[in-house]
Amino acid sequence: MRRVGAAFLFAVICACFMACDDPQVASSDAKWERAASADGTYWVDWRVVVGVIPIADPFDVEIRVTNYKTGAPVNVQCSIDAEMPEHGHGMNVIPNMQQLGPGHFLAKGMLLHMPGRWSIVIDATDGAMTERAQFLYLMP
Amino acid sequence: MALVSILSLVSAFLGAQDCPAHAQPLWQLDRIDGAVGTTWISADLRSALGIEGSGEVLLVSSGETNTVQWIDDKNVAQKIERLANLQWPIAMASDEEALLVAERGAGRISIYHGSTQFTLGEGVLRTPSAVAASGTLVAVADDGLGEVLIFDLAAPNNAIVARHAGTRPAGVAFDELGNLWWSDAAQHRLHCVADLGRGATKPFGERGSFPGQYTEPRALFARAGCVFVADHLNHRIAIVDAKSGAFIGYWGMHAVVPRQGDGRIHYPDSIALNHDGSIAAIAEGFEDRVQLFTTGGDAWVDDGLGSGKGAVSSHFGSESACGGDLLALHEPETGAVILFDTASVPPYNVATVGASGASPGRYPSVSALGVLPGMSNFVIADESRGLLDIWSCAIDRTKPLFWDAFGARLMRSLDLTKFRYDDGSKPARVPRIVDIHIDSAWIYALDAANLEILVFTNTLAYSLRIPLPKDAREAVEFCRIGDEFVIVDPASACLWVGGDSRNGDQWRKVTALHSDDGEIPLVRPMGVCATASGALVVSDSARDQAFLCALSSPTSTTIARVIGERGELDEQFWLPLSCAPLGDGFMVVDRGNHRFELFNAQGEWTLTTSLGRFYTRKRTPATDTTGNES
Repeated sequence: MRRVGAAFLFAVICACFMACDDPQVASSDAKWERAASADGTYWVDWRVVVGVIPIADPFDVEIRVTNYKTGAPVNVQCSIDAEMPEHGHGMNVIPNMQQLGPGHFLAKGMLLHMPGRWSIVIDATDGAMTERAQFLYLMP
Repeated sequence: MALVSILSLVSAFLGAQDCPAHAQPLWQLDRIDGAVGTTWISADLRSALGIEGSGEVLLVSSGETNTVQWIDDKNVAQKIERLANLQWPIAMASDEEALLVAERGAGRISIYHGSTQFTLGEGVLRTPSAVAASGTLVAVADDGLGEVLIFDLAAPNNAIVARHAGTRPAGVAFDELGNLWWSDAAQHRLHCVADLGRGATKPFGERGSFPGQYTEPRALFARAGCVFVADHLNHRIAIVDAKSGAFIGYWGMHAVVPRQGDGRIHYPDSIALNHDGSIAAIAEGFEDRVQLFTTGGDAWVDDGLGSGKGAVSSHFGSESACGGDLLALHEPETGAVILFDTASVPPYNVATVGASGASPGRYPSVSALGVLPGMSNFVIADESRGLLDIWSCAIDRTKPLFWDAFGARLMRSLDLTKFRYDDGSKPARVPRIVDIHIDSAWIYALDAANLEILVFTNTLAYSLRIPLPKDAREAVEFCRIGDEFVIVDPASACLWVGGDSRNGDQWRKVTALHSDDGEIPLVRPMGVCATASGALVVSDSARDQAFLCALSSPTSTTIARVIGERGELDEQFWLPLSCAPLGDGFMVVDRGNHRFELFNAQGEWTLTTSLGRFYTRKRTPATDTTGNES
């Protein structure tokens, strides 16, 4: 029992350490989406902090980038973008990316301004090399 | 003269109010092959150059005939004996006493001062693209070096007194306020440098077509407080206030179909105003012509020719690649890369990627394409951001083909601005990748900035470099046949064949192809590829032809078939550029007709196509419309 309690305490401390500068992130129980980066170097997980992407309203996205083989957080730079390839445009805003910890990011100020098929892309950059994870999202 | 100069200076300080925001078409000079540079020279200089008549006169340089010609009173181009034997005279500038000619093919500036002539920059310049003069200072844009260099003719040995680094400098001009202006075609912006090019720099512009934006700005001309910009891919002359850099206006309406003119501008290369600023001469090498405009007046009224049947839906440039059933072509006007499935007839547009922007997967200046054979993966290089990117494009052949906006995905991106060789050293310049060749094991990237081939694994891990021959001056396209490379060097009007480490990296210079009738010298080779059977295909934009060479040896230069002639019908070309192998045959981009043409292994024409239109039955001059459209 003491071991379980210690593990729980460790998990809580880790969670606070990873996201302690944004209480909203720490308390979110939104569902995670996952994809491997296109060349298979990373796992990229992301979730909408408020749970669901609102139509034409700003929202924040929490991102975790981990090593594809080991699952360990990786020390990379991260950027996020969204576009509608069928319409030839992207968002009308540039999100502000904050690093919360190794491989852990918060993109503030995303905004999908119209319904339709969006491509959400998350780029992980290590030195001179960038890899992309891509997600299709249908805004109803 | 002094009074004119004072008036110009006063006008300059007054600012933009006198800059002509509009212009009216005056005259069109056709059939000046490769017209690329323009300048007006004074009566004194005219006399010194041995040009008959009196008064100021317009000179036009031709990059295809290697001459500078003068325009007579009947608007006919006439030869100038002293300027009839140049090497790719790409740009000119003049003052009261001297004419300066940038010879791209010779890597120098030739200066004609009265009866004397001397050269500048030999051994220093690589491929000059523009020249300007002010007093004893001479500014030269050199896109091969990626620099603007300022020479001082009053300094010992005409020393270089300032240098400015860019990506692809394409235009230079001194204004009366003491600034040097230069354009960077790859970065789509202008730079204003104080103190005649030796002071602080201020950039203006970005890629785009709105006021204050530019797309591949080229030659510049400054006069009376105004800077005139040949805004090449916006098909207009942009006018900028020299004092503030503010946008004032632009001339010319886009020629929407090839050969359209009479005030409609198509790919302007240069602009020059006469002495009193009343007439502007605009060279359009794409159309082999110069258009004259009177400055001032009202805005152009739409002539209603901007749309309708025959309007162009796509453009193709100098970049193409093919592997398996995937063909990638660059659309220079939108900046996008268009992907075709070549198993279909005509090739089916399955996806479009890229276009301008700053985020990953966006390309302000696509400079090379490659396709990984059999993998549905392709590579895009961008010279403005220094990128080498791998994309995937999976085509589901179990379903009918469709244009899939989500079909292509960026996989991996290499930032070449951070590139290092394996010993940790930096290249002399950020690699500017202008062509890509891919085989089953390696990605070969032709680096025009450092004149070498960089070899990467198919995950973009650097492996080694292969230097080009020391005499190579420009590299625009290459292919690999057997163990050798074939490099296209238009500035040297030749091919370089070699690079095989087993023969000591020796290179051979090929300046002519051979036929039973004799030699055909290369004038402006621009494209090369190797067919599946190992034959060599070379395109020459000045000859408006492509050549299929025989298989007598892997890099034979014996012509098996001469393909094409100047024209707009099938199996004709207008500025052929890139070549790529396609199935058993090959493809040639016919840039001047906004299309590409397909040929079989014997070099016989099979198809002409672009987005939205294709022909599999050859059209004739009489009908012009025989064939099929979709």
